[in-house]
Amino acid sequence: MEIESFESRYMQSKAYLVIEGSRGVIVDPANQGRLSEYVYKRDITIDYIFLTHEHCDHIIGVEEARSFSGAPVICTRICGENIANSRKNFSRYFEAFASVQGRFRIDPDLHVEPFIETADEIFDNRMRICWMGHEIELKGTPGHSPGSMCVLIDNKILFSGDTLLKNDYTMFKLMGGSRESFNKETEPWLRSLNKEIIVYPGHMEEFVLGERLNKTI
Amino acid sequence: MSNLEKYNQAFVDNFGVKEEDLPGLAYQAVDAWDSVGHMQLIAALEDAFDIMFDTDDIINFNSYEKGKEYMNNYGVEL
Repeated sequence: MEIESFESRYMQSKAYLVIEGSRGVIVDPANQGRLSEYVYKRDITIDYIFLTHEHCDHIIGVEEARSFSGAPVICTRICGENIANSRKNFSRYFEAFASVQGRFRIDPDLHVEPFIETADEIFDNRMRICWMGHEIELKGTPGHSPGSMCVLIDNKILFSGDTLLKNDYTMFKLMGGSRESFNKETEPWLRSLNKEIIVYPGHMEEFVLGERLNKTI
Repeated sequence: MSNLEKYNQAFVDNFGVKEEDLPGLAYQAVDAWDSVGHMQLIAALEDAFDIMFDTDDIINFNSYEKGKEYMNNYGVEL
């Protein structure tokens, strides 16, 4: 199994492509252009598009990915509701937010119009998929956002979105974020997992789960 | 609740400040009014007054007093 990452200009969010043979799944189509070019170039058939959460910097390439692949977009029920609302997916505020943070000085061509998206399949807390001999578990992990989830493959690889980052605390301040939900539901689940799991987060580089859990989340 | 009370309440709720501390309050003057807190304030005001700020106005809304000017531009008399 191969994992390719594609960093987006939008908040440096990461899109991931998991490849097995000539098949693939996309985790967070955060990147427009390079991801699709790569898929075309290697003639990969995309079977699923997973969304770790509803924020626009992670879903901005959903329409493009669905269009070129025809694959279903899968996320939690709340994520599915929130991506259909430009305020809740944050695209309504993205340009202002990026500007306030000073990011437009770095990338003056960055523009995001408010947009909405739709999911094809949703689930409430947990969904399991057998894919190319691999066991994929989608687990709702509220905290960073109410619609957050993690993607666990073979109990060895975890795509954490913004639920768990390497060097940053998990952010709960964005609309709908909840430290309480994270403490109650998400953190116990993360701590129940194999500590050797390699985590591929929604921003920055990957890390070993156990090492990260030894530090303050 | 008057418009001014609703306006003030958005600051108090989002930034944890007292109403008497609002005059002169500016972006980043308190820890809670950072870039994320700013978006929360904007969303709260949009909800409270059923308005939609232009992006430039969100960016330039950098103080309690400046915000009052913008509110008036959106037809909200404080």
